[in-house]
Amino acid sequence: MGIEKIDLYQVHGLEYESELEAITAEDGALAAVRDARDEGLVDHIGLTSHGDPDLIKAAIERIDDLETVMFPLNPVVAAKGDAEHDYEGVLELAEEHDVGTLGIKAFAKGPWPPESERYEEDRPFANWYEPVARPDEIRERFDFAAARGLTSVVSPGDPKLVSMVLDAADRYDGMDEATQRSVVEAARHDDSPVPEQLHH
Amino acid sequence: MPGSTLGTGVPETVRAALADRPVEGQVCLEAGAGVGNTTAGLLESGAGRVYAVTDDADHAAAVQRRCGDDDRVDVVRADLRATPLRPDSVELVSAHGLCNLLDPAALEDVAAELTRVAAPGSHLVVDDYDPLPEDAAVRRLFAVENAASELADGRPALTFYPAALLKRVFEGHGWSFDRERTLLDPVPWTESHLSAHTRAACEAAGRLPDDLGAPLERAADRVAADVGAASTGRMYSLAFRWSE
Ligand SMILES: C[S@@+](CC[C@H](N)C(=O)[O-])C[C@H]1O[C@@H](n2cnc3c(N)ncnc32)[C@H](O)[C@@H]1O
Repeated sequence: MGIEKIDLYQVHGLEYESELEAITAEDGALAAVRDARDEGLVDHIGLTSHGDPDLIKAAIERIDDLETVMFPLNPVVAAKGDAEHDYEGVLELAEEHDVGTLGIKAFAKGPWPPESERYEEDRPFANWYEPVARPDEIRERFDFAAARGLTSVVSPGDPKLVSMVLDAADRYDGMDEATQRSVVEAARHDDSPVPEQLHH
Repeated sequence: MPGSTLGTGVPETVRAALADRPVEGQVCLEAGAGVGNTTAGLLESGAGRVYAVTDDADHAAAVQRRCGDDDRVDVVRADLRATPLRPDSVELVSAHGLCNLLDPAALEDVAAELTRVAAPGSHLVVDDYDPLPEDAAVRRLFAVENAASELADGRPALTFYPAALLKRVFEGHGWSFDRERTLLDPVPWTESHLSAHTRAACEAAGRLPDDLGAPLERAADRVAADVGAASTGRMYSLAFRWSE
C-alpha cells in the first residue's frame, strides 16, 4: 500500500457474539492487531459494527485497549427508540470508557429502491444505501450527528456528497435538543407504517 | 440483558418530558392514551402501575395490544371528564398531546378530574402545542377541520393553547408550577399528519348536509394538496406538583 503505518485499525463488521469471542480469543484477530501495534505498524485499535448495540457495549466493556467504536447514528435510527437500535446507549458507554466514537450512515435516507438494487449503475450515488442529497438535508443530518456528541461524523462514500458535508461541517454551530427531537420525530413519522401513530 | 427495559418506540418527546420526573414505583395515569406512547415511556422508566385512559375504543385496543402483556398496565376506556378512578389514587399524571383535543369547557372539566384523582404530593406533566404562527400554512388545514367539526359537533376539533394559558388553568386548580421545557421546536407536521387531519376534516364534513359538507371536503383536499409537510410551531412540557 506504500504506507509505513496504519493510524487506526478498525476491526470490521462485528455482528455475532461468537465473532466477539473469536476476535478476543488468545489467537484471535485482536491479538494479531496488537502484535502489529507492538511492532509499530498500527497506532490505534477500533471496532466497527452495524449490529446489535448490546454487542458493541459488550465489546467496549471487554476490550481494554479499544480506542474507537464505529456504528450507525442518524435520526431514522434514533426514531426507532427501542433496544435493537439503542446506539445512543453505545455512545454513552463509549464516553464513560473514554473510547472515541465514529458515526456512520449519518446521511443515509434508506435502502435503494428495488430496481437499482439490481442495476448498480442506475444509482445516482456510489453509496450502498440511498443518501440524503440536498444541501439543507445534509446540513441537518450533519448537525444532528455532531450534536449527539460523536467524536467524528464519517462522510458518505460518494465524492459528490463530500463537499456538501464539508460545507456543513464548516458551518456547524450546534443543534439544540428541541431541534434534535424535531428531526427525530419527523423521521419517526416518515418511517411509520401505522397511520394512527400521529402523536408527537 | 442491558438495555432490554427500553420500550418499543417510545418517542423522544415522551422521554424528554418524563426525564426529570420521579416515575420509579409510582402509580401513574396517562390521560388520553392514544397509542400508548406515554404508557410505554412510563413502563420503561419503572412505573409501579399505569392507568391508560382513553375514550376511543380503537386506541384502547391498540394500547392493550402494545402494553397489555405488562401486568402493571390497566387500560381504562372512559371519558376523562369523569373517570372511574378513586380520589387521591394516582401519584403521577401525564397528559401528553391531550389538551389540544379539548375545547375550553372540556379542558376545565378534565383539569378538575385529573386534580381529583391525584394524591397529595403527586406530579402532573402537561405536554402540548403553542398556537401556530399566523403565517404557518398548516393552519389552513386545521381551520377547515375546525370549521367542519364546529358545524357537525358544535365544537372545534383542535385548540392549541399557549403554554402560559395551560399553566394558569392548572394553577387555578391548585397545582404549583414546577418547570417548563421545550419538547419540539419546530414541530414536524409530516405527510402522515396532514393526511390524518384531512381525513378527520372530511369525516366531520361527511356528517353534514351535502350543501355544507361537500364544499368543506373539497376545501380540505385542496388545502392539503397545497400545504405540504412543514415544520413549524412549538411543543412544550409543563410540570406541576400537588403540595398541600
Ligand atoms: C393525541 S392522543 C394522545 C397521545 C398520547 N398521550 C401520546 O403520548 O402519544 C389523545 C388521546 O386522548 C383521547 N381523548 C381525547 N379527549 C378525551 C376525553 N374527553 N376523554 C378521554 N380520552 C380523550 C383520544 O381519544 C386519544 O386517545
